[in-house]
Amino acid sequence: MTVSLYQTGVSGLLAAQQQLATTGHNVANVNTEGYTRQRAEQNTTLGLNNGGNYTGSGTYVQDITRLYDQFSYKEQLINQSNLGKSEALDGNLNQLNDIMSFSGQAIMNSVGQFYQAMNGVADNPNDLGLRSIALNQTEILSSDFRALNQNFDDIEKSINGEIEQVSREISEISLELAKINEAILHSKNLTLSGQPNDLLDKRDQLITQLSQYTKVNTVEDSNGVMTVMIGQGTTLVAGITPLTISVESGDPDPLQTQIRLVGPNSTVAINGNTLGGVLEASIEFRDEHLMQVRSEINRLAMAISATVNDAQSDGLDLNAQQGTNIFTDINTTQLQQGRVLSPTSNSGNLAAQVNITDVSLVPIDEFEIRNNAGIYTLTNMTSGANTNLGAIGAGTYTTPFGFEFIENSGTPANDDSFIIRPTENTASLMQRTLSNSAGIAASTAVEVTPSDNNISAGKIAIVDMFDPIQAQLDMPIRIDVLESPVGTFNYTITDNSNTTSAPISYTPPSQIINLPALPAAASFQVEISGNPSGSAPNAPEQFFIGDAFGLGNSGNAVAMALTQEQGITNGGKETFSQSLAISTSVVGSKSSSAKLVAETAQALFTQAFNRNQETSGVNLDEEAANMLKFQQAYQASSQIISIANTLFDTILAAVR
Amino acid sequence: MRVSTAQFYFQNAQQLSSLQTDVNDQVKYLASGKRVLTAKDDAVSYGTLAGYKEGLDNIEKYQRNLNQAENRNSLQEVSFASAEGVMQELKQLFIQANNGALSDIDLTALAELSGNSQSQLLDIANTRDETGNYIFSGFQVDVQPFSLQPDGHAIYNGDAGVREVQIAKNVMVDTNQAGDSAFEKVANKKGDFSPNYNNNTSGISISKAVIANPGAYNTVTNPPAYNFNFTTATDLTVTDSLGNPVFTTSTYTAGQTVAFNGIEVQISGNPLPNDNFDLAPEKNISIFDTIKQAIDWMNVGTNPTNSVLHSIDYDEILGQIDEALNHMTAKRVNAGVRLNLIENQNSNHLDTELYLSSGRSNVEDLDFAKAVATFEQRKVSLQAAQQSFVQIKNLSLFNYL
Repeated sequence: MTVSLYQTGVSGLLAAQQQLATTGHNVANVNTEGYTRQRAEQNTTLGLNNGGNYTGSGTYVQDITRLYDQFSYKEQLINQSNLGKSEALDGNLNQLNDIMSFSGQAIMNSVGQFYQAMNGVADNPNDLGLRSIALNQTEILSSDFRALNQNFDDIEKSINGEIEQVSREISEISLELAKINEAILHSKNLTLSGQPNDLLDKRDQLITQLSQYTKVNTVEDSNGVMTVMIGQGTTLVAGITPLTISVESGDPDPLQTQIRLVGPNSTVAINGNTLGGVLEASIEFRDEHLMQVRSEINRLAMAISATVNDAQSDGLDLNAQQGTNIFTDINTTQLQQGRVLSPTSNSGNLAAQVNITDVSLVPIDEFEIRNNAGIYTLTNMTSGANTNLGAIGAGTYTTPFGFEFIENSGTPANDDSFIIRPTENTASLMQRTLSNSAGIAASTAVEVTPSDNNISAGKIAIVDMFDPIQAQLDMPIRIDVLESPVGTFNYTITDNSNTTSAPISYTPPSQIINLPALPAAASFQVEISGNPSGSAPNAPEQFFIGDAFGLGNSGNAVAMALTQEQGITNGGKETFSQSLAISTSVVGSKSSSAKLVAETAQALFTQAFNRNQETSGVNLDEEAANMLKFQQAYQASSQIISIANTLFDTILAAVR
Repeated sequence: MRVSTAQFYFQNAQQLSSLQTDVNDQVKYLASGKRVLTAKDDAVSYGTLAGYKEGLDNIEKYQRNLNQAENRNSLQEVSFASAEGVMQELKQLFIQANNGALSDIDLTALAELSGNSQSQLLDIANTRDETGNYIFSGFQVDVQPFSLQPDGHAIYNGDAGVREVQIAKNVMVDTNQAGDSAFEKVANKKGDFSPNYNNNTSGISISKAVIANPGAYNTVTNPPAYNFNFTTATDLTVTDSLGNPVFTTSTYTAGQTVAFNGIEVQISGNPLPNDNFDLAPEKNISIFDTIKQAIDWMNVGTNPTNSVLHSIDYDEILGQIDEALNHMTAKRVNAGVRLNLIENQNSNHLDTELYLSSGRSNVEDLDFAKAVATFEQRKVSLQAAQQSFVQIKNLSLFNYL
């Protein structure tokens, strides 16, 4: 009997020791991330049958378990992914917002300064000082665009770096998980009843880390081996076999890197938009938000360059020469070819380029041209709208979007596709190409002077200039307009060889005429408007068009200065300032939405975390109380041993 | 509900960090004095704000242009005022010259003084602005507009160009007047034709010769100049330059309107037989020609070959001087009208500027009272959170073991 008392005491002692050890373990790991608190389960040992009674024989520790609620844990995982994604997006958009607000403001200022200088030239066109100022401003404007583009390039590079970094981390986690799975498998195979709690904790911790980078789903089998899936169900760890993630250059745009899953025998591409977590945020930011804003800035650079260059070509500079480009031409060969991207998967050998014909119609979307059994189809990648361009081999194809697709050489194979970015590279290649300030074409070439004898309110105005030098050579031209009989208007054109054309009909309210008249090539266009009636066949309304060049002629500079307030982009509805303001506002609103989403995600995550901690977290006060409890149990058990010893001594003393 | 130790610290860290961010944001706003620093602060208002700023920039642009336009038009007004003065003086001299008591020497002296008037007017017409450009040359600003020939004739070397600048969204104002319209296109007092008297013994003169009906005026079948021949006091034949008669009457009465080919002519005075003159088309007479005619008239002296004609010439020249004077006044008024427009636009812009400025301020500027109150509030929250954290962290059972 005393013997069994010893046993009972010792069992109590050992149990208390294990309890204290577990409590100590919990206390030591109070700050370990991802630690699930452990508890030793005590159970009574079977009673011994002694004289018809079952006498208890002590206790033993059955198992040390983790207090783990898999449902609240999974909820925490999901919220962790969402938080990772929204925080990453918030950070990136915040940076983009700052850049747009400050660099964008610099561009707006430069545009304003340029037009201020042009107004100066419009007032005093032969002042070389004012012209130099205007040219300087164009230099500043070009470099502002290039700098902003450089900022975008830098952001893109850093995002790509981040994607690569995250992919490496994911791969490493995958390898670790596979090793742990193997260890757990082995430890379960040996007939230990205990759970490898710390291995399980480590595995869960790795999964939590992974969930920040991407969405995670796990499935555990009967052996405790966990299969881990990321994104929409792509298997990352298949039991004890790890797969890794690699990043490779995009095709056709190498900077749009793609994620691939690397298995033992093959690799598979993964759609980055469904991965969740930081990866999805980075890819979404790079491929959607950054690309949109870059496209808008490129389009603005294109609109400014094209507008100023066109205005230059309409006029004459200080040396009576036709104005040359102030900014880089938007249709250089390099720019044209850079707008067509051919994936390496194409089997044909078509080389193509895109020529911009009307800046006001150019959208910021990306397009795809595909060879569908001999017919080119143009698809807008944002809206999905299709346009049929016609059979291959025609050379040049016009589109309703302000650009034309030109086949240079070679032919495409069936199903070849090309990515078209109409605004690509414009800001990065924008330069000032005019260096001599006398080259600003401030003067108009020709002008219309109505005769002093005109009696009606009709007028003729120049609306388009094709070749100012030729127009000067075609001078003088006279247009006579007469209404006879009432309601019927006819006009004649007398050219510089004094040949008068036959009367041509004019229908009010306005009509456009090419001058000089056929068969000569048209060098400019005028518009008759109103009702120029004249008084009689001998006294028609007369309009004299003559050479207007002069050092004091600032008509073209005025026209150039007026473009500041004209709607040009987006179908002619937005001025340059408005266009830039809209781009900046859009980024700002995205950024402030992202901040709200991040705040919500943080709140949800905190809630999920709390719920998980409720079950699994260590509370120091609770552990302190437990320590006292088990310490007392230990003391009590050791007292039993001491009493058993006393009993034995008593018996011995009795027998001696 | 259990609270784990980790949870407690995590939550407090979160709250402290977010409160600190709030305080930081408020400091940013207070330091800059603006409520909208970047588009993120208020994306909806940012667009409106950009619009206000653009409007204000445009107004600044218009005001700069207005300044320039005002300077140029003021210079023109001053020039024409001087020209008016010169013509007045000339008129006085010319009136003085019509005094039968004057001798040849007196007339020559008056002619010399008139010559001074001519050079003065030439100077005015060749005015240069502060950049050295000629203001009356049209677009040819580096070319002197009027040059005096040895025969006293002034030729115009510029063109008819008129510059304009933008002073409001849809308003342009001219900044110069071309020399030809300013000094050459002075209307002929008689109308569209000038007489050249071949033989005038009666003292008749043309009071009016206009193209009344431009539609009927045919220069192809009946080209000018038109020759008027009085065979008797009542017989008048008008022939064109081809020799075709275009008008004949045998019942001519003094003051009758002679109408032919869309032209109407009125002759004042009673004609005598063999009176003969030509009418040549001349719609405008240059002011310099008028002055030259006056000087020439005075230089003829006290003994003209045909005193009747001399007297008729005097009337015509005096009338033309009046016409020129009116023309200068009209040109000055032109410049004045533009200055008026400029002033109107300026005050419009000032009003608009006020409205835009206050709009911009409403959106962008910080309400300091509200911002300081919010800042204090956030600061207090942060302090409270910090202090309560310190208090609670001391509560641990381990302290009592």
